[in-house]
Amino acid sequence: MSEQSAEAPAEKPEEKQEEKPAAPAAETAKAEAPAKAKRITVNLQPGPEAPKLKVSQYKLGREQTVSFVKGWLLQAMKKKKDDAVFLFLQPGESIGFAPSPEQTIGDLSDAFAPNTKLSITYAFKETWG
Amino acid sequence: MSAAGDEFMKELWSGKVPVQFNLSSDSLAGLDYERPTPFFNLVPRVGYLSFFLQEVQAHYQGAAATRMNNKIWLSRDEGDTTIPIKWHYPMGVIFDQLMLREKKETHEMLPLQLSVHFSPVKEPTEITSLASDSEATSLYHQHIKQAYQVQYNSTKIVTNLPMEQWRDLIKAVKECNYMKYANIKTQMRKDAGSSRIPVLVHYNGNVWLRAPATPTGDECLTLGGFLEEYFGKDFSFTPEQKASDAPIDLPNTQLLIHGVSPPASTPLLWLAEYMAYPDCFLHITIETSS
Repeated sequence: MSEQSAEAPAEKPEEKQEEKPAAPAAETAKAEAPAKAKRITVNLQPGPEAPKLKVSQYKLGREQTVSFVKGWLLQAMKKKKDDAVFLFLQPGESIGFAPSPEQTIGDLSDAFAPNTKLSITYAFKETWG
Repeated sequence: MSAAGDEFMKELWSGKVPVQFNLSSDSLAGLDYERPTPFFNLVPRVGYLSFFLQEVQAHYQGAAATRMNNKIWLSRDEGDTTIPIKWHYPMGVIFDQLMLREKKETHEMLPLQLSVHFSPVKEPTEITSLASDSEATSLYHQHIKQAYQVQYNSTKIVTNLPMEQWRDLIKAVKECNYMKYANIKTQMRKDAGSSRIPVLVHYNGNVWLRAPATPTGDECLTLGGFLEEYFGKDFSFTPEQKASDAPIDLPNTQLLIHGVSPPASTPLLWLAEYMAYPDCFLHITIETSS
């Protein structure tokens, strides 16, 4: 099994301008609550049989979605737009789950990796349960 | 749960939406092919359109072009717009969202007209086209694991379920059999209780995950309190409204949970226990008009 190191495409995820709806705002922000980071550090790790990325850490906007990351990975690995790609979150020592396509990086970070980098495992074959 | 609680749940789980599945024009085999009769079915509100996949495929097997793969997806067509259906969410959530968005009364929406596409969905997309029942089951599996991750900080309770129990759970979800589902669910809890409440808010067509901490002791987080905290721009209640037993009724914002608007004073924990869907999430549908 050969391990290819893929080139990140010229267009890094944080450079892509996309019209994403802003999360609904709470007008009454609690004074003590720290401001949420506008950009989340995402660590993309290869899953079983998946090639490694040359660069694995990126800063993504809170509003970027799972489907955006999937599309970007397919591009990075020079795959077709409709090829299968699977993303997995394994917070702590959890077996993990696959988030839905429209879920945002911000929501996933807040719920499962607050104040730390969000680790996402990717694969091109569905190898987990 | 008490006997009254069980009766309530059985009643809630018995709601159904009559759906008319029409074959989309782009899926017809050839121009001179006669449009086949639509496929009708009653889809439970707490159930999933994706679990009717095989019946839909079988119904349209002859008509849809054989050169197309068997991966299908659904859409709601309004005029010129084709809106892909996020069928990884329960039927009731989809129906409430469509009704609020299209600003129609229930009777104007029925039977719910959906288009079945055998042609590939345009990428990038936020829906999953499915070819098999196991793929549909997998979507549900991921959702319930995520809900458990929110509640107990681990998916182990779900992944450690013996295969037979998992199959029974899926069967109960497909049949929308509340008592069978509840029997298995009671074995899927931690004695310590859940630390957070998994909520998915379908807000103007977008989905937001919120996980408020489970109230402890004398604390009480109400639906109104939750909405003000996370969606304060659209929800602002007077103390009277917050304590009221009347359904939430705001001029520019509409909210539905299982097709009804609960009072702002409803404890969120109560909603999570009684009105969560089989995926263990409390789904709230909100549409604002500005």
